[in-house]
Amino acid sequence: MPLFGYYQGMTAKQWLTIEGPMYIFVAIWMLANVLLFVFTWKKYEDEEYTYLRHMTHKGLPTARGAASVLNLNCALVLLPVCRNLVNFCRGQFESKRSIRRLFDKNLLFHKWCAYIICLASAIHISAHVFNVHNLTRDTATYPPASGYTDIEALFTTVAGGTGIGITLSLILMVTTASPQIRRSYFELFWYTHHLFVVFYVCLCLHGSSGFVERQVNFDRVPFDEDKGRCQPRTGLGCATRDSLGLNPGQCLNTTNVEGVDDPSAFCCPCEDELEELQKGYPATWMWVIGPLVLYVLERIYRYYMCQTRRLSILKVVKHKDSVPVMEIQFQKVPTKAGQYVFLHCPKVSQLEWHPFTLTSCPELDYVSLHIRLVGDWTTALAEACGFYDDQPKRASELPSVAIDGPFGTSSEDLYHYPVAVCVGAGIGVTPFASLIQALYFRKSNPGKYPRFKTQKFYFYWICPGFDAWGWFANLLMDMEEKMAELGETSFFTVRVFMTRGWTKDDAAKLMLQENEEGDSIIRDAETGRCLKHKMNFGRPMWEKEFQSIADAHPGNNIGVFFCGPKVLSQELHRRSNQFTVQCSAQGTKFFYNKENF
Amino acid sequence: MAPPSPNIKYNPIAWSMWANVLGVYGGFLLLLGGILSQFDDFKVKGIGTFAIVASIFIILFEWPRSKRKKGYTMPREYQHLITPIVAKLGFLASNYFARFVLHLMLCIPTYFSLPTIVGGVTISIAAIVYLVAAIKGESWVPLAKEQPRTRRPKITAAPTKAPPRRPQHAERKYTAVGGGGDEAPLQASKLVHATATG
Repeated sequence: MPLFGYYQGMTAKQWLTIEGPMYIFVAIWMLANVLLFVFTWKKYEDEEYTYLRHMTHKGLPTARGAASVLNLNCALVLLPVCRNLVNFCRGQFESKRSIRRLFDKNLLFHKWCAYIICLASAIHISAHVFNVHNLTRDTATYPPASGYTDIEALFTTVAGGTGIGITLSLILMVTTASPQIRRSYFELFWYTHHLFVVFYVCLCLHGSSGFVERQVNFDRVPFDEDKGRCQPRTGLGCATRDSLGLNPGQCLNTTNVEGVDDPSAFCCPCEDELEELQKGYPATWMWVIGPLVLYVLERIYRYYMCQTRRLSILKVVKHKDSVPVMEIQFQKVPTKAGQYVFLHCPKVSQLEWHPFTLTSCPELDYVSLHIRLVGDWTTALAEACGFYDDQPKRASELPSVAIDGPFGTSSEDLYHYPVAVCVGAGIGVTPFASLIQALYFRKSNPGKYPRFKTQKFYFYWICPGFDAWGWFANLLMDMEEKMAELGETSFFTVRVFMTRGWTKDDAAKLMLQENEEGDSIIRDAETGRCLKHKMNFGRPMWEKEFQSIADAHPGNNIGVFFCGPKVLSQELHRRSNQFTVQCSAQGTKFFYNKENF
Repeated sequence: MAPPSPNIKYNPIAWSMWANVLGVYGGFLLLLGGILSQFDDFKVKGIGTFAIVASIFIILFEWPRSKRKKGYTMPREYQHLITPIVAKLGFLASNYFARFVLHLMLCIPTYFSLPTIVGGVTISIAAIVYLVAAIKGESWVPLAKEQPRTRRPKITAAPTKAPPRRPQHAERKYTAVGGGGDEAPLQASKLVHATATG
């Protein structure tokens, strides 16, 4: 992740408005990690721990420093995945754009916490490898470890055993979360990630045996790294250190004491007191209990909603594109445009939840989803809904579904920008379906939506071929018609780009279309409607597109919303910032927002 | 429209892919363990040295991803340099039973030294997952280096007729599309491209 990869010569003020909030947040978090490490390190350099440090040297402060960083991040890593909580918090900052944009990065922050957990675990384990080895070797100073080899100590102690549990579950979770596996086999990732239960149980028990002992009476019975443990002497009297005006650990000047012949000997002012050690106490649970409770509540809430809010499917619509698409319409729940839900169908699978973008806008009296039938679960759902039957199922025969959500995404903010530029590529057009529909309701009834600011809406549709997304094309045609009815034809600009080249047959279609008054070649066979906006071929030249948008709307805040592949996302992000810099004289600002999946 | 057969899974899990990730991660953990054991006077330093050698072998051996049966395989960085060398190992590389046995043998010595245990356990899990992959009938297939896409100019014969002209095959194919059909049961929308009849 290039930290300043999108900087591109922005002024400090521009950077602060557009990119700043996120990096400031990350900087605070990194600083907290570093400070925590340093302060814990310092704490374990104290006199109290000299006794342990005598055996473990720098291993103790290193392990403890890493442990504090682990405590913090194991607590934080849970928060961004509390979806309902994040959604709630997002809703609390309705007018604070910079804070709302932070919440869009929740999954990114989850990953960053995980990276730090891996790094800190490596440091913690490496340090403890030496510590265990040193403790089991030095049985004279540390009697509890006597009779063990270091490997036995690993498997027989509470700290060692839970450590194995933590490390193994972390390794399994991290390996299955690697992008190749997460994207290809989501179930494997999803189920393995539930090892977090083992992880947190072991984590809370890890410190319970209290291996890290501190010395309570170090001021009276000092322990010196060089000279070892204080030897009780007879005949010296029993003066406290303070009364002699000495610092703790400093050797009593024995030359002035009668009866002592060896001045270099480490001596003890009190003859019959032994070092007193206090067991450590487990502290991790105090760090993680809060987020853990929130996460458990989140899961209980999800389960409760799933059990109580069974939504019946009202209607199933077939769309035939190159890939079959099923539209399901079910009972209305409160939603906002641009949100997504997790869909669960108990009749198909008891465990699986799948994310889908809502394609209906809040003003309609049902909620709809368009589901591409490309996987095992989706085809099973289609079968249960009678998608493949010749006769449609009656509404009473259709299965019920449960949803988790709806959850907000960055594109909810679309209407807060006077100019909105939406880019949907491939499957990434789905989030814009509900947004485009909602635009019509807002435009036709401005009195009802006082917060609606959008004056110009650009939609870039980048699709690979002719055949995909017929239902979406129909929706765009509907919009064109409705806008024409309102007399707002200039409000809505659609730019369709077909990227995959064309065959001879496609060329023939193109040729035919050119004859028909320049309509787009996208048309509906049944009604004969077609998209008024022309189709373009090849990839958009973003520099030109941005230039023309910037020229048309000088001095405006322009929201760029994207959903689609990463490479294009990076380009759009760069272009947004580039043109913010280029147009700084007019005050035009491009805000880049990306949908996360 | 016929429903897909329930017996055919669209996207069966390729266990070897996970085993491969575990192998690489385990290799790095083992390397770390091997280096750590050089620092202190651990009883069996030989195991540390062995771990370093074994881990470098495992990392190189596991670095090239296998070509997936279905779908795109994202190659690891510089994997095209190592793939031919691993492919030369033949049976040892392509057969996952062989990998299972090999990994298991390599990780046994690492259990006898504390710093190398974490890496060793990870490699053992990789071995077990490889066993699952082998039982499911998966095998390692070398991934050919992706050729950079060259844009060949399409050369077509020079037109013989002055414009405007229609493509010869246009009328033949696009006259009878649209209307009626099989979408009776549910409301259906059908999108086709322009027809000559409009």
